[in-house]
This record gives sequence, structure tokens and C-alpha cells, in this order.
Amino acid sequence: MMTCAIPTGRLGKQTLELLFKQRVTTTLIEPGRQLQIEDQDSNVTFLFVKPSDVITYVTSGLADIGIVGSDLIEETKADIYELLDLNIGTCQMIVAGLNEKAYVENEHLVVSTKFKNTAKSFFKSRNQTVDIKPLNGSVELAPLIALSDVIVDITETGTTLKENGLKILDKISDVSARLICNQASFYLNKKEMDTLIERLSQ
Amino acid sequence: MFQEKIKQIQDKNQVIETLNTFFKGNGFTRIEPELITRTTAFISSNPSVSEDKLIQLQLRDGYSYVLRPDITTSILETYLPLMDDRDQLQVCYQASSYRQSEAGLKTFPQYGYEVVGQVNIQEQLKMLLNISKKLKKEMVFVVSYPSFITSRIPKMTPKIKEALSLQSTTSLKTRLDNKTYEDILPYLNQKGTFEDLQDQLDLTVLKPYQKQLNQLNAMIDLSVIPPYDYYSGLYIQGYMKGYHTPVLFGGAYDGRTGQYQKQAFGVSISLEMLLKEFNL
Repeated sequence: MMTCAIPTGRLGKQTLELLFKQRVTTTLIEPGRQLQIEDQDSNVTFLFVKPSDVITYVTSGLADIGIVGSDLIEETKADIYELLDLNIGTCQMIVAGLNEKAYVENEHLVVSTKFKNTAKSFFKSRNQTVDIKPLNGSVELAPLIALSDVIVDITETGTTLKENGLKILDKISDVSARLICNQASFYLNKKEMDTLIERLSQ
Repeated sequence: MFQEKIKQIQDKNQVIETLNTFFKGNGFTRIEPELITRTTAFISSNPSVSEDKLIQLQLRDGYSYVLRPDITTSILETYLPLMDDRDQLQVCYQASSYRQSEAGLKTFPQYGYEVVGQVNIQEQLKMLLNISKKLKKEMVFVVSYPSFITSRIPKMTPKIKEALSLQSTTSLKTRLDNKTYEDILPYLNQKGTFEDLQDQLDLTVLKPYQKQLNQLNAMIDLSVIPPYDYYSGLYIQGYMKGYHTPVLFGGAYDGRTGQYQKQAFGVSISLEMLLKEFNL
């Protein structure tokens, strides 16, 4: 039986809908407080975990496969295989600020973000020096209180940005949920992996 | 508790002594690799390894060193400059390599061997078969040939390399031109034994080793990119139930020794796995 780490929250809901739609399972229900479910129909044990912990579960071998946003794959650079783009949880990784003046090329910038590695790598590719202010939430607040010039964050509709008077100044990448796996599990459970990929890609 | 610890050390010594005897019988000399390597030497042979992961030391001689991130570079730095045209290096070792991680120092205890000079890859694969026969659990071997896939990509960038390491078709599609993407896609999608794949993929580079790969029951995955840049020829990884990372990896690295007109092949095996799975 393979083990799959599913993120809790909105992406988790979309994942369960997809698993039903693609008939990976017909019996798995959205868990209440139960965090581990052995689903006989799919022959998979599902672990419901915090989205940011999915990669840890997969890389440590506690889960063979997992579903996670490409933003976190990019950020962690973990040794995993990305098997499939599930085309759910779509959004964009962007640079936002109060106005274009805050985003001048070649000028040193202060950047607030939850995605420090992604931000570092993006500004390095622009040959721009930055100071990163790591934040865990309410990132949109940072330019308003002059904590930083810009933010790097994910946005789906841009509503929260607009409500805080922020503009999208650059797009870093498109983000969507991916089916990932532990490299060892991929080769040791090749048949089950192939079946799962085939079902999910139909 | 104390007795348990002593017993663990005795068991470890017994496994290492058995391996030493096996390798000595095959013409290998046991060595103690140097603990530190010049930073420039490591980076020049591994340009894509992130410096953030290295444990760097600034010594009073004015040079910067790294606590050996891998054993191969350390061995080559010591022995390669001393070798003349006809010299053959066949060494085995038990040592650890070191990396930085979010949690601090990460240690990788391993047993390994290196052959530099004239290398018969078929013989090396037979050696792997013999080692795998001494293990309690079956090992799944995965074989690739890194230069085969990288040579198909006209301009390799760190982002493309990252996407290849993830085997991410989504990311590769956005970063490669259509022709290159279509060219490498079959190698990303198809994995199997030599027989499974020979009618669908160009396996010319692996053809000379077909017999030995079949004996190993190896899975061919030509899209695998090794963690170290110097592996360019045949590259092999071993996986085993109960272990979430490869328990064995290695292969040919003639690119690293080519300036000395020498072929090279080396393998590193997880000591943690050997201590649990090696049949004494």
C-alpha cells in the first residue's frame, strides 16, 4: 500500500475532488479531525498534512507521493520527482509593491516574502542585490509600513493585493499543484506509480 | 546501553573488515581519504553544486577549503597528480562526506571504491552484482548516461538542470525549444529494462553493457541527472525497500580525469544500509 500526503485546506479540497473525478478513489471522504485514512478502494494510505509539510513527508520517506504547489517545490529544491501537473491550485508567483518607482532595475531592494530562496534566485537572475525580510504571513502589509520596497508572494486573483493598494510589478512564474514522489518510491513502486499517473492524466 | 554501543561498533568493524577482505581479493588497496579539499578543486569539478551546501574553512595558509563534500574529489586531488601514464589506482575506503543542511551538519557515512587508469565497465558492473548478492534484500539498480541527455540540450542552464533533476516535463516544456523538448521527452517518459526499451529508445551508449545490465536486472532511466557534475558516462543508483534515498550510487567520470588521459569509475555505498543488510 502506497502512502500519499495530501495538503489540508483549499488545495486539499480540490485534490479530493480530482481523486474522485479521475476515479482514483470512490470511497475517500474529506476527513474531519482524522489525519490518516487507509483507503482500501485505491489501496493508498492518505495523510492529511499542512501544505508546507508535504515535501518533508515525501523526502523523508514517510509518504511515497504527495500533492504540493510548484511554489514550494521551487522554494525547497528538494530531491523529489515531479510526476504530473494536476492543473489545480493555479496562481502566480509575483513581485508586488506600492508603485513602479519601488521596482527599479539595478537598484538595491528590500524584499519581504515567505519564499526567500525563490526571491533570492529571481533577483540574482536580474543581477539585482536584495535584502530579504522573511515573513510567515500578512506579507502585503510590509510595503505599507515601509518594512520593504516590494514583496514576493503568490496571488490567485490579486484581490488582497488591490485591497492593500499594491500593484503587480513582475511575474516570476505560474504556479499549480503537482503530484510529487520520493525518488526511491518511484523506482520501488514503479507499477503503482504508472497506474496512478495514468489515471490522473486521463 | 554501553554494551549495546560496543556491540554496534564490533558489528560495524566486522562488516568493514569483510568488505576490506573482499576488495583486497579483487586487487584494491584500502586508503584513508583526506578530510579537506581545496574549495576551488571541488567547485571546478562540480560547478552546479550550491556553495550554500558546502562546509567551508578558511585556513591560515590563505586558501579556502571544504570539509569533503564527496570522497571522489578528495581521492583524485591526492593521487591523480602523482600518477604517470601506466599507473592504475584501485582503492577502497570507509569514510564520511559532509554537507550543510537546514538542520546543521549532515554526515554521509559510506563505503566506496574508485578505479582510475584503464577501466573495464563490464567488470565494474560484475563487481556490483557480486556486492548485491551479499545483501539480505534485493537492490533495484537504475542506470543512466548523463552526457547522453545533456548533449541533446543546446544550452544547459541551472534552471533546465533543476527541471531535469525533478524530471518535470511541465517545467522543461517552458524552458526548452519545441524540437529539443520533443527530442528528450521519450527519455523522460519511458523507463524499463534494456529489453523493454530497446525498440523505442536509442540505447546505443548502453549497448556494450547490455549483458551485465540484464544480470543486474537494471532499470534504464536515461533522464537521471547525478548530484555531482563529473559523472558523465554510465551512472548507476541502487534503491532498496526501507530506504528513502539511494543506498548506492556511482559510475564513470572520465570527464574529471580526461586531462590525465585516464578513465575512472567509482561507487559509494551507504554504510547505514551495509550495517543492516550485509550478510557476513
